[in-house]
Amino acid sequence: MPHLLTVIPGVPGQVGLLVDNRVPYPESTRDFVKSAKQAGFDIEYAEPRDERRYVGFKALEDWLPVIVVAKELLIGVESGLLVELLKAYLSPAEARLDHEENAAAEIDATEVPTEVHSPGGALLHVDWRVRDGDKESQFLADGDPESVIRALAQFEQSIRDES
Amino acid sequence: MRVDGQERLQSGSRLFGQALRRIQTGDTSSDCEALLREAMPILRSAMNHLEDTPLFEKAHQRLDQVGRLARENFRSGCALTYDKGSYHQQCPVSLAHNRVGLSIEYILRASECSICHQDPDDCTHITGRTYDGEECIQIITDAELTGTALVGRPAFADARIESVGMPTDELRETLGPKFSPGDTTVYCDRCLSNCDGVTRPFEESGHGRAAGVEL
Repeated sequence: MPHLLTVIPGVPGQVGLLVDNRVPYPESTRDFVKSAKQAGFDIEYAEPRDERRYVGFKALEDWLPVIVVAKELLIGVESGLLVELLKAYLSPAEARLDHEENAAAEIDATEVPTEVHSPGGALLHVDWRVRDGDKESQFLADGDPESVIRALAQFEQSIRDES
Repeated sequence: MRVDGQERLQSGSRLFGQALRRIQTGDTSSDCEALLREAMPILRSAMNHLEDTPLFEKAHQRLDQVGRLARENFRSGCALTYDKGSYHQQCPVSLAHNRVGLSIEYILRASECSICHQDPDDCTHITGRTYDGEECIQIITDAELTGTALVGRPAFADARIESVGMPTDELRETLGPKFSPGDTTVYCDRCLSNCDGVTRPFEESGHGRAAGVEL
C-alpha cells in the first residue's frame, strides 16, 4: 500500500534553489516528519536519507516541507487530514488527542507537550499538493498559523467537493 | 523571548530611573552618563525581544526617554563615529527605530540532537519540545553560509544592524562650508525632536522575496 503522505524535495517559495545539484528540503523537515509520525500519520520521504540536503534560514519564519498526497487516499480518510497534519506540527498535544491510538507506540513517554506555536516562528510558508492522476492541485500559503489553517481547511474541503 | 524582553525592559528602566534621580539632584557626572549609555543597548534589545507584544511600545518610549535625557545632558556622547573616511551612526537609540534584522541562509551539512546526540534523522526527539526537563535543540556541527537576508523578524531577536554610514555629501550640505570631514565633530540631535515612530521597511521582504541580499 502506498504511503498516504510523501515529502518531496523543495522549499516553499524558493524556486531554483539547489544544493549539490539537488533540490533541498527545509530544515524543519525532520521535525515535521517526526511530529506527523508520532501523531499517527503515514508519511515518508520521496528520497533516501543520503540523497537529502537541508537548508536553513534564521528569520522568524517557518518553511514547511513540500508534501504530496494522492486525492483518492485523501478523500478515503477522515476529513481535515491536512489540517490535522499541520496541527500535529504546530500543536503536538492537540493533534495527539485525535491520533492517540495510532501514535501511542511512537510517542516518547518523557516528552512534555508545549504550548501551541509555530516552532520556527510566526510566519508559515506552505506548499502542499494533492495529486489525481496527471492533475495536481496545489495549496500555497504564506501567513500566520491561524490564517494558514483556515485556508488549508477551505482547500481540503474544495478537494472533497470535487469528488 | 518575551520574558527576556520584560527583564531587559525592567533592567533598562531601572538604569534610567537611577540616572534621572541623579540629574534631578544636579549630578551630571560621567558615572551618571554611564548609566544612560548602559541602558540604551538593553532597551534596544528589549524592543527586539518584545516585538509584536503590547510591551514593545513601552520599551520604545523608555528608550526615547533615555536618548533625550542623554542628549540634553551629555551631548559629547552623542557624536557620530568617524571611521575610515566616513561618519557612522552607532547609537542604539537611533538604530532601534529601523525595524530591520539579519537572517542568515545556510546549507545544513551535519547536526546532532542535544538529547541523544544522534543525527536528527536517526532519533525521535523533536526540536523545541522538552524531554525529562531538557529542551531539545539541534546542534549544528557543519554548515555552509550561503547568504544573508534583511528581514522584519530575525530568528535571533538581536541580530540587527550595528552601524549605518552617513553620506559625507549630505552632511556637507547640511552643515555648510565649515564642515571638514574627520575634523568636525557631528552631533546627533535626533532625540531632541519628538519621535516619529519606528520604520518597518522589510515587513514584506526576506528569503526568496524582494530585498534579499546575497553575500
